[in-house]
Amino acid sequence: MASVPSSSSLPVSHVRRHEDVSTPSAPPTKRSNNQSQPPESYEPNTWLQQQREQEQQKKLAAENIKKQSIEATGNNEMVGEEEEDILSKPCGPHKRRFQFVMIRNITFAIPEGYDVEPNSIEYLGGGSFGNVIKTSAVCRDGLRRYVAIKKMREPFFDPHHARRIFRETKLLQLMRHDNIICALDIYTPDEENDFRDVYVVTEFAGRSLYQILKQQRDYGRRVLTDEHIKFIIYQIIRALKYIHSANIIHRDLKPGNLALTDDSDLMILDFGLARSLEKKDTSLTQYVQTRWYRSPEVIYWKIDSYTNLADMWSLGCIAAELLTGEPLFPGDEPNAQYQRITQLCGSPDEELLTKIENDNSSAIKAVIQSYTTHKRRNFRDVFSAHNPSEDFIDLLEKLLVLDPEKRITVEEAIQHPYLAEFSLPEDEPRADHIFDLDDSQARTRFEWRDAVWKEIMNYKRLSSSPLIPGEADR
Amino acid sequence: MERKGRERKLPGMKIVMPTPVETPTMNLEDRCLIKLTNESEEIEIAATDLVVLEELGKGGYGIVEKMQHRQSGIIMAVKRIKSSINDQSQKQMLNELDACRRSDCCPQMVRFYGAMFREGDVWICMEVMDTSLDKFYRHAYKIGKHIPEPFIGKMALSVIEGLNFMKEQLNLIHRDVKPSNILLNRHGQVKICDFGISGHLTNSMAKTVQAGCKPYMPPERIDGETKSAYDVRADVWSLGITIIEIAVGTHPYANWKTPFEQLKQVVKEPPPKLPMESGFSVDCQYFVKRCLEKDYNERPKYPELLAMPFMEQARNEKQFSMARFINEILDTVWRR
Repeated sequence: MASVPSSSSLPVSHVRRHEDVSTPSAPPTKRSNNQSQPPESYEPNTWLQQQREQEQQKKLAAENIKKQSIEATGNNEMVGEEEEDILSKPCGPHKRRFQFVMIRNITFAIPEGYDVEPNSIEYLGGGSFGNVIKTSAVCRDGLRRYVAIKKMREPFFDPHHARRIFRETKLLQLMRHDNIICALDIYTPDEENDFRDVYVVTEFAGRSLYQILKQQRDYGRRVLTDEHIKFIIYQIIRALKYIHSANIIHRDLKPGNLALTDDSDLMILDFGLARSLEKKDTSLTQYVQTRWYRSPEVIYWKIDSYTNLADMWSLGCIAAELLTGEPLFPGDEPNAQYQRITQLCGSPDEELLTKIENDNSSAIKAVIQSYTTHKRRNFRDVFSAHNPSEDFIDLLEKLLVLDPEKRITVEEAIQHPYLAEFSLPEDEPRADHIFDLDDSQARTRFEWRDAVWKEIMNYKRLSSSPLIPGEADR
Repeated sequence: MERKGRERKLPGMKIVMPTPVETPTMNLEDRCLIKLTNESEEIEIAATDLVVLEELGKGGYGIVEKMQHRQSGIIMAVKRIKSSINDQSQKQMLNELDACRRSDCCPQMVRFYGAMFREGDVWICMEVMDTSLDKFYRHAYKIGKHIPEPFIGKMALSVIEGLNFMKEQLNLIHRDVKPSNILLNRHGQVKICDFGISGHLTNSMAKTVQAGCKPYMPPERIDGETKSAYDVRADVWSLGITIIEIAVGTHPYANWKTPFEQLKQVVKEPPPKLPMESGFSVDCQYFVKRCLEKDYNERPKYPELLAMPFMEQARNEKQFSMARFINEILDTVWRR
């Protein structure tokens, strides 16, 4: 097996510059038109048919190769010959070869074609749902890109986790927007019958906003200017316009899920909690989200029937944090969180209390009324130390409203005067259609696992996907 | 076509970050030295040499598996907890693990052997027990048995003695007393696990994650308006809830959907109690009543609990065999 020749890493800025020139992002409508052309729409089916026909033929050969490589014996010439034959034909994801690398005591399976030199791999971090490393790869369009490889933690631990993995892998393929991350590769080193590890590869999108804000705090030095803040907020809203038009709620907007390049280009990263509004999912009553950015109706009184306005509240929390450098509502438990919210935004008024009573019960209303009643504070006064513009305060006022029915929508927000200098309606795309995640069924974790397996097998690689050695153009 | 967004950017859009100081990484090891007893030699265990025998439990924290060390045949319980590298709470946790490891063994605490790191998790190696109180009482009710008062007394006595040891000798507060953290074995022993380990992790995770309400949490921890520092009396409340749960067969509080429902029931309504008609003795009912004092200033600490008649009876009870009862329940197969 020939090793991939190592090459010096290109600086990130160069990578992005090349990318800008050679891979312009087309409007979704154009993609839609292209996808509707008969020749292209037939191609995937043709490939699948070929795949099925060849699978049986290759199975025996692959097994022989495995045995010989395990025994470390056999005719080198013959091995080389057969390898060459296999590599020259289209291969499904499950036929790829992997190198296993230990990073921070975590084993990553890295496919052939990616840079596996120890010096080239950087551990980016770990969280509740996975561990992420950064490396690079030459992609199908000939460019070398920095990529982030995320290894999901125990993806099929229980049905809840498994469904989340399914949603995320599905959405990372469906979303096509330059402020939203998309999957360049989805793979597993496992065979179907012992399938347990899921890896998702995305373009490395820069450092997270959480890291930037944290470093600002740690160094006591402001990094993000008023213009940075405005551009960041604009890009988030631009992405949300697309997401909400697809009938998707993100549900986990927070600084840690936003990545920023040195040029202030922003991408929304994580879609593990996103869900479709297309089908009512009454089985979902509790879920995991960073509480600080969660809207009040989601936490306290509209758990079964919240809408995409919940994302707008999260945006308000982020906007305030960008301004002040500190989290806005860092409650350490739900009741402290509630008190922080009401101290700034005021307690529910009679109109909202009536809605709460209708949605829940008079007992819940009584609990709310048992708290100290607060009047809504004057935001201009609260944030005056940070010299916000009038327009910023006005937008923030409209985002941080307790009653979601009175909160500003994304369509309204993107037209807000605060964002006027960036506004360009013809370049603020909506999704072509509503995304049906097909995720509302009650499935066991094994059924979800099968669904994720299918997503991996059916993943359609992009021109910006890492090149699989020997991969034929199709 | 170039992204149009770029054309609209203004000068000064570059972000200049300060030079990051290299954060020292934790000394992460995928092996550890363990001692099975105070007298035995230390054995080095590598994570890769542990074979999974069966899954013992899982929850929001992670998963617990029964594992065997390939070379020595030693069997242990391994709990995997998500690890936040460089988290301050993890350092605290490691200090506590070390303290536990160096302490004289307390018979009411599950013995902790050691810890290691692998695949982004902390692997905590512990003594393996036969079942948790949570699984045990549910199984008992399934096969038509109830939990008798002597069992409740002896279980509570062991738990309180273990919690008291933690507080007096190790200066640790458990923070997560509940049936799934109380373990039983066929010898009739009752032990508490997660001694202080999950406390800081739970707090750390609580800052960012809230998965449902916590049904064993005392009123003073729920009511933000009268929130107070944590102390052992919070664990006393949790023990009281646990006793009612196993005595009656169901948790005394309904499933809450919102924190407000929890607040209403736990903080604003009277505390739960053992039903008068359940046949439990007056001493038992009084004991539970004291554990579930809503005003934590009125709630007893361990020495006062240990001096109560119900505990005295549990200490002196000779007719009831924990070992026989536990084996009887575990050996009865439930058939629909």
